[in-house]
Amino acid sequence: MNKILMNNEKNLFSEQEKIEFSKNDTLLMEMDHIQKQFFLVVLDNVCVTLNFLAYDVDFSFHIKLGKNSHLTINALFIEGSFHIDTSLEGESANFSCNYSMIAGKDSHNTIEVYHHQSNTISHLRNHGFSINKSAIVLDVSSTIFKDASKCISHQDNQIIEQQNSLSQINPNLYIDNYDVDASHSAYVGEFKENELFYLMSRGISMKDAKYLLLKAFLLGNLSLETDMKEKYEKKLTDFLSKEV
Amino acid sequence: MNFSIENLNVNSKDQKEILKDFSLTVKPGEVHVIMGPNGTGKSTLSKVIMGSNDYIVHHGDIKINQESILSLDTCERSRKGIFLAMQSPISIEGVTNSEFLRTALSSKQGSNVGIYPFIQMMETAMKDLKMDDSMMHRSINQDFSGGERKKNEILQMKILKPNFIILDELDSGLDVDSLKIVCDNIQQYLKENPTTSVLIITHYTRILDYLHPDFVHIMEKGKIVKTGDFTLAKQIEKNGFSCVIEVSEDNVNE
Repeated sequence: MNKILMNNEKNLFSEQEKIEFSKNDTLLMEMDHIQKQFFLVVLDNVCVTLNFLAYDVDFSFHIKLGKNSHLTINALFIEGSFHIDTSLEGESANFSCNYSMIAGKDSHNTIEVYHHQSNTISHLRNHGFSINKSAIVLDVSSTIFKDASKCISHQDNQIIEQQNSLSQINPNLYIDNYDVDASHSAYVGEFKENELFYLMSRGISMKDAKYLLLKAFLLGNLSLETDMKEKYEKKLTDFLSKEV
Repeated sequence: MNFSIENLNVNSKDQKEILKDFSLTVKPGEVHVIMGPNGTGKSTLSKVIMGSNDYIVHHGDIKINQESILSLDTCERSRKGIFLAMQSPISIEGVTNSEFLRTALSSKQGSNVGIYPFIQMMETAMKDLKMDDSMMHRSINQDFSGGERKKNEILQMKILKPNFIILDELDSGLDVDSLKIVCDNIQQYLKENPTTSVLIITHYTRILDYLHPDFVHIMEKGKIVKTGDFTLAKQIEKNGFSCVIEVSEDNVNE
């Protein structure tokens, strides 16, 4: 697996960078206090997994997927904002975006996917947790153009609030083709009472029960191998021990 | 543990009266059964004992060894030794059984439980219950069958070692063989922990063939209206609740 480390002091990339994948790959990008814009191309028949672990970054990603290509993103953002637009330009391109974010400050995120070709697939799973009264905004849009038939496009958007805040989800489906399979869901609220009750009925304190649920909510949303999951969990735990 | 409920009056959040002057005393080592038609408040009773926020206690008390537990929250009641095997255990995606139970056991013991002794404990208990090892690492009750969920409740009981156990409709969702396995495990637990008391909530008597009760209580409209021994349960099985109480349509909701 390849690895890219970025922070505000040492930065190997210019402000706008292009990465092209011509063969299957898994990439870990760890980012710290940066503002960055990336252009990414996945060529035909290539399968790529991108794992992001970011702290306080403002990150924009412009992606193009070729025919039969497959891109999975597993992103954990602690503070900061994430903007991603993905064009499925080749037939049967497949895009999975698993995005988890935790914010103690207001955070605005946009996730957009464009189905230009037939048989393209997108699954957007966006989970956010707002600390105190910070407001997380998720603008999530899936567009299926007129000539793109038999496309699949699903969104699952959830924000859990520690306290009532102005967090909001704007889930949009713009569909200009009659033969598609598409759905969206959005939930903004607190942890489910019945889940807390179940955990607490076994002697687990409210605080520990919420921590278990939070970890499941944010890390369970990502498709990670065990060693990678441990890395993400450590980053999350370090942050929570200071903030919550 | 001496467990008692004294003149308990409970309303739902929308002010519907559910329990009315409900009283019950359970001494160490006793097995009590509560039976009754649908909608008499049996499952509500179990949740109220466990401290659910869905209900409001506006009169009466629940005590352990003469001390009120009404001011304790759910986790504190659990740490006092109360265990509720739920009628419909929920699934929680992303929280594994092992992580959940290790956290629960550590909370109860007040210190972190080592991973190796914990795994050994889990493996032994799962083997006793004829559960697949993989369930340890799966999310709580995620994709479990009804029977597996009930076994998972008893697995938790075996690990957490309570001294007052509430079994709410344990037999629902269990096939004959699984019911026997689960009840054998409970019997073994009671044999090893003779002062542990049990409160069984059920509609049917088949579970009582394995866990013989000392007392059978019939509940109607939020309170106990008749108490007897095992023969009372057999009488109900044969003739229905109408032989001991007047079953009406306006029973309060569970």
